[in-house]
Amino acid sequence: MIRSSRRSPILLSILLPLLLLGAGSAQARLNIEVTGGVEAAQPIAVIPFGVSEGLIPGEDVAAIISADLARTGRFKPLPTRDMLTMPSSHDEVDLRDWRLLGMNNLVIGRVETEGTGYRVSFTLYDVFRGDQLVGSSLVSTRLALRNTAHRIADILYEKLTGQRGVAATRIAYVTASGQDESQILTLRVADADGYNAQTILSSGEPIMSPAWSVDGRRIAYVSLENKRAAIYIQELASGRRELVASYPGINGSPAFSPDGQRLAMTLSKDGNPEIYVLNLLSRELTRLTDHFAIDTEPAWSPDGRSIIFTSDRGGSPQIYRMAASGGPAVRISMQGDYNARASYAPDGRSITLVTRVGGRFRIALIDPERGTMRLLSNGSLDESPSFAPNGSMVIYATAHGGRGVLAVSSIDGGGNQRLSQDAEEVREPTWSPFMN
Amino acid sequence: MWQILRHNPGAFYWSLGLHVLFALLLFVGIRFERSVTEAGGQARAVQATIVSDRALEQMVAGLIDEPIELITETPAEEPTEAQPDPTPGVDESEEQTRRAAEAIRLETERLAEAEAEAERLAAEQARLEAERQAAEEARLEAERLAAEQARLEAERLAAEQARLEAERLAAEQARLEAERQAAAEAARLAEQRRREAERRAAEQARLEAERQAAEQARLEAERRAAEQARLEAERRAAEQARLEAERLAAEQARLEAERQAAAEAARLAELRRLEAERQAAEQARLEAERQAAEQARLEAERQAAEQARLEAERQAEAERQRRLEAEAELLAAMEEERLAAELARAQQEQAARERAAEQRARHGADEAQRTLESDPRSELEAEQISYLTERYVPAIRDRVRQVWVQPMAVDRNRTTVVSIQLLPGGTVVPDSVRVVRSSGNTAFDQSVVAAIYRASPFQVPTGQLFERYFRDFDFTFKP
Repeated sequence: MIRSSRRSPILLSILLPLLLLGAGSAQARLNIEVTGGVEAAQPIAVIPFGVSEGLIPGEDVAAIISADLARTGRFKPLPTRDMLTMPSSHDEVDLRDWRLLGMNNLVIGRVETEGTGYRVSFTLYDVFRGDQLVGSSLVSTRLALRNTAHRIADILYEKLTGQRGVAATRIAYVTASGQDESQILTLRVADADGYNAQTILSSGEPIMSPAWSVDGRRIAYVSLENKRAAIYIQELASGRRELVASYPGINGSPAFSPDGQRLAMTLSKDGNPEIYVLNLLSRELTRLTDHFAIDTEPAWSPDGRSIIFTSDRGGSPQIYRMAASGGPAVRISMQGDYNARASYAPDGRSITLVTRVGGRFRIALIDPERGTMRLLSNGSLDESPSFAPNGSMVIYATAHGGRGVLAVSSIDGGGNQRLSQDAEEVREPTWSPFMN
Repeated sequence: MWQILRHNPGAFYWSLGLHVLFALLLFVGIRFERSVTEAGGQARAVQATIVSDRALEQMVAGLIDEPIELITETPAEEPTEAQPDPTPGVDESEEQTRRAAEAIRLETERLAEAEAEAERLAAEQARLEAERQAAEEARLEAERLAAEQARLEAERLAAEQARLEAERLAAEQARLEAERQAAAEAARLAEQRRREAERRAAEQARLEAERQAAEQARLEAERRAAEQARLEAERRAAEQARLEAERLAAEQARLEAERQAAAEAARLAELRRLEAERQAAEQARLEAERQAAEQARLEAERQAAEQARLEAERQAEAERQRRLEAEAELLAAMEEERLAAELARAQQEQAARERAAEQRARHGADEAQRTLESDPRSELEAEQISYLTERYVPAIRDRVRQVWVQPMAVDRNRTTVVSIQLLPGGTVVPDSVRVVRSSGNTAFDQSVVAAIYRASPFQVPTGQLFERYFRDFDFTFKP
């Protein structure tokens, strides 16, 4: 094997470990080592899906898949206008066309009528090796065609990256429209690409801090609909809801524990905002912090063993960590004079938060073990970061054109993209867990 | 004038004389005036003289009509002038004339006497008058001179004073003028500066306004241009999409057929070329392939034998273990402790054997390397490889690295090994790139394969070195 590296290619190239194939033969096989190619989005062609005669599907499936893949920051779909041919069946595919265009992968598919809905079939090709990596079909109702496209995008993404996709997950957020007396606030749930928004609560008073349950079926939130803050848990499918905290003073920042049995929250019923945990089964309330400073915005570690929260006990808002059963808190945000709204990545190795840098509030990623910080967003009033369930992206709210919109940042440097098409002010997005 | 002199010299001389006279009169002009003034004094002096003579007094009373001014005339002329004067006065009538003639006769006699007396008095008076006049003249002259001098002095002083005054005034005026001018100049300058400042401010304001206007215009123009460009781009994109769709709909089948035919032809040509090349290289390559096949066969046999041996060993060991377990069970009551220890030892030994076998298999390369180093033939090979490494490998590696676009966020520990085959000249044989060891990440593997094809052709040596090392070799890719 002939080694090489970016650091000292010549030196390492002179080292010559040889692989010999025959025991008695001196035949050596050359092996050239290459490291450090340019990291970039991978070229992929998603061909507009064919349709059976006379069928006009309500959605452009290939376009949805392309957008989903592009949003991950890891793929660069070929624009339709650059496609030389548009095959929709295996017989029409000539992979050499796509090699010439420099595509690593090719996706073709068809939408056909089945019963009252559709059957969507698709194939993923490895252009250079000529293999079919995935060939499958999904049955979809007419209304669920968008969701079906998201699911196909997730299948392709997982096949190519080995990581589960999040195109078919959802997001919850709060919108505001109108002014003062006529102001209407709504709590909405939409697809991860911002489409297909559904209002689950509408109120003339503020709605805050939506939080998903682990199974993605319920959302906890703070509503001031009775002129004072109260925490509710609402079931998405039925709309049924339950009042879980309505103490004097602040009732805020609910957060489901990973096991789904507890709800962390901020209460000021004892005079000062402190972190409490409510056992949802026994209704037992436990106070975790006891400090004259403000303690708020609790978030669970993925293993459920610790809770991070925002506190100004050191003079400025910073992130602290304590055991989920309470006890001493350790500061984990080490840079900057303002760090808040922290939440863990699904793998527990990093934390996203809002930090103030040069007077601007931006989304950042910190590594609590190494104490490093990396900025993800580039706005000035960015808020409420929330990890995608696969940890590859962070959704947050940012100011654009004088109003709040949603944006997604790819953790691995794929850039930031705005999502929302809502006309209203949009804030406090939170990403759902995987929907099974 | 010259003509006047020539034709009438007398007139000229008269003129000249008059000029001189006038000049003289001009020079003594003041005296002339004075003499008029003094004339009164002279007349009084004459009267004083006359009072002393009674006859003369009578005569003077008779001649009262005669003008006193005549006395101022030259004394010699006085009688001649006085005589004709009464004549017209007695011509009033013949009666009067006759009486007058009687009177004149008498009077003439009386007058003769008086005349003599008058002549004597006149002579006396003339002499006195001349003396008096001379004295008077001298005195006047002195006085005149003194007066003149005084006047000149006064004039000089006055002139001097006037000059000084004038100079002072002039200086004063000049100073005032200068001051005024300076003040005016200062005011003017201040005014100018103020105006200049105002003008500059105005200019700056104007420029600023113009700049802002220009900026705004520019921004507006840019915005419009961008908007237009965007609209144009959208329009073009829409148009292009429409055209593309139409074209595709109308001609896709035909184009596809044509393209496929062309591609097929190209592919066949390529295949023929490859075949030709392959045949040209066949002679050398057959040997290599034979060796490779032989090696592969040997390796397979060796591996099979090894595997069989390991399997046999494993089975034997399992059998032995089962046997030991059975024995252990049988002898449990009696020798439980001892057997347990033995069993443990036996297991440890077996594990060690297995590890050794594994290590042998895994480090076959290292052993071979050692073998190679001790082999005299290997020295030549080491030289060859050293040469290759410096001459060809870095270029190939850099070429691949340049075109390798790896996926983001791939685990650093992942490695993909691919084998490739080259044609003489360095072109990658189509479909020859095989993933020998996958990284487990499909996108990463794909990026590696794509990079090899993109990098083709490689710069490789020819002849023996190519056949020996570059006909068929491996790449190891790490993120």
